[in-house]
Amino acid sequence: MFQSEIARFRKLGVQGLLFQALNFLSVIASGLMMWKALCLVTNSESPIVVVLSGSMEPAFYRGDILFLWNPANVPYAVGDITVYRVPGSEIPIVHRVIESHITNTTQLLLTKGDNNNETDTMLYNGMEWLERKHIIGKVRGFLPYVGYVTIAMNDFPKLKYALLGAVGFFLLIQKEHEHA
Amino acid sequence: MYSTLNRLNHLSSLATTYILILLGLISISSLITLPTVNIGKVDIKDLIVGRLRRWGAKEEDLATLRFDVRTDLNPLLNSYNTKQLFLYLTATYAEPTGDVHDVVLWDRIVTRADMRDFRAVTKKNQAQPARGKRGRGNVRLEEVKNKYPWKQPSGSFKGVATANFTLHYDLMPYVGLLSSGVAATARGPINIPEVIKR
Repeated sequence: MFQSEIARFRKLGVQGLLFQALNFLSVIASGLMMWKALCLVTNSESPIVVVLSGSMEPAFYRGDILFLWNPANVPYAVGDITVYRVPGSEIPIVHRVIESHITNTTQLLLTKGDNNNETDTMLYNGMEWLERKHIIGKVRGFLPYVGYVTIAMNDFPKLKYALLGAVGFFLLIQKEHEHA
Repeated sequence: MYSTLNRLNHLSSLATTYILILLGLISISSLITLPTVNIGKVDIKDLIVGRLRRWGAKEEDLATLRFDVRTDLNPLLNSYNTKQLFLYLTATYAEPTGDVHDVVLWDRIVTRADMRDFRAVTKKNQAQPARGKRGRGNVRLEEVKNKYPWKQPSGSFKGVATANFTLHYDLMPYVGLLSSGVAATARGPINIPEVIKR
């Protein structure tokens, strides 16, 4: 099946191969640039997240995609669904704000998952309240199921490498078809 | 000419593009036609502030209350892009120091599946099931207790004269932008009583 592809590679030569590699890199770079631009616009370090737990069911299930934004100078309000990350833990958490205490210097927040019985104090790694600096953004938009691909890739790492390899390979041979 | 792989690739990319366009149109149209709600009534009853004294723990004030709600969320549940409503009652109050507090006292998830009038079990009438008639979004809550403990970070309600009570809704769509609004309010600020002496 791949005999003809390998033959084409031979025909490409070093220059052609380098050109394809450059093409491949520019695709990756433009993707990265779009992501960073989105970060700038939304003022959030990760404007698109995938739901990993069931603590907000029936609103959000595992694999749903959330679009975040984090307007500067606008305090978070009670009822906002926020995504936060406490120091000492890697995984961001999607939960709703249920208490807000604004003082002269700071805003203290308490969150809770809609589907949980307890508030999140246990998740704060010893902190009593959440503060603005811990919050990545507020959920504004919702797209169901699509993010399940990333969950599948995390659960089965081989799938991730297979997918990456396939994409890279097809990018390399794609141009050749158009030339022919 | 074209290989099977080429055709498959083309077909799937075309399908993805059109589905995304369709979902975009759905979310925009449901946002434009977002219904408004007539603001209903919240009645606050039996608002009591007591002082918690537990051995080995900080002494602190604890407020408890019961409330009634009457409002109609029918227009929201009629919208085709409503997956779930999240209802929550908040108390908003300020201290003389300028600190502003906003606290959720009670909440409730209303999914599209249990789209019906819903009532809470009352103190007087325990036998009645907690569900009303099917099919409409009339909210009738009677003598419901606060679900979350109402405390102060400082431990005291001293200096807090009044609080405003509001029932908010948060609308979760099947796809698109989340929206929220006010479902019912209490008539004017409610006085916070003195701490009960024991």
